[in-house]
Amino acid sequence: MPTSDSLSTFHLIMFAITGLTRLAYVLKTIAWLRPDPFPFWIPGILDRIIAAPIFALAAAAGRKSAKQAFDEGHIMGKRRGEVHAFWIALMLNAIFGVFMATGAVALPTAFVRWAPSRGRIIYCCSTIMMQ
Amino acid sequence: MKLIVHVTEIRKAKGLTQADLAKLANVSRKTINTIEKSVFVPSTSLALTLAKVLDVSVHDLFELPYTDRH
Repeated sequence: MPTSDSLSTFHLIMFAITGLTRLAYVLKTIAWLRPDPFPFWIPGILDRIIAAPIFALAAAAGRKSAKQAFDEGHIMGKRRGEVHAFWIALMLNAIFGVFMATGAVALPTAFVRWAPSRGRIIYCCSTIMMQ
Repeated sequence: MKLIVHVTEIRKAKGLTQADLAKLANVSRKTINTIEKSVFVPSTSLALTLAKVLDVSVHDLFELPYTDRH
C-alpha cells in the first residue's frame, strides 16, 4: 500500500516530467526560433494525463495518507514555486520585449515566455533542495 | 520572522523518528523535516497539534528570537 511519502515522491516526479516538457518546449522554441517546436498541446495534455495516476495512487494510499501527502507543507511548497515562477515569467517578459523590439524573435515565438508560470520545475527544485 | 525551533530535540528525546511524528500529527515527513530545518513556519493548528502529540507546550517547541525590543 502506498504511503504518504511515496505519494508525495510520485507527485514530485510527475510534476518534474510536465515541468521538463514545458522547459523543453521553451528551449526548443528559442533554439529553433519557431513557436511550435513540437505540438503545442503536448504540455497541456500532459498536465491532465498525470492527474490520473496521481489520483489512482492517492486512492490506493487511502484518505489519511493522501491528506498527509498534500498537507500544508505541500501547499506552501507549491505556492512558493508559483510565486518564484511568476517573477521569472515577468522577467522573461522584459527580456522577450527586447528580443521582439530588435526583431530577433517573432510575436508567436515570444509567447513561450509565460511557459514557466506554472512553476513546476521551480517547485520540484525547491522541494528537492529542502530535503 | 525566523523562529527558533526545538522540535528535533524534543522529538528525539521522546524516541520518535520524523516519520513517527508525521504519522501522529497527520502530516507528511517532508513537512516535519522542513519545520525542523526552519524552512517552513507551521500554522497555529499544526503547531498546537505537534505540541499535543509531543506532550509539551507550543512555547517549548517554538521560540521567538531574542530582540532588544522585548
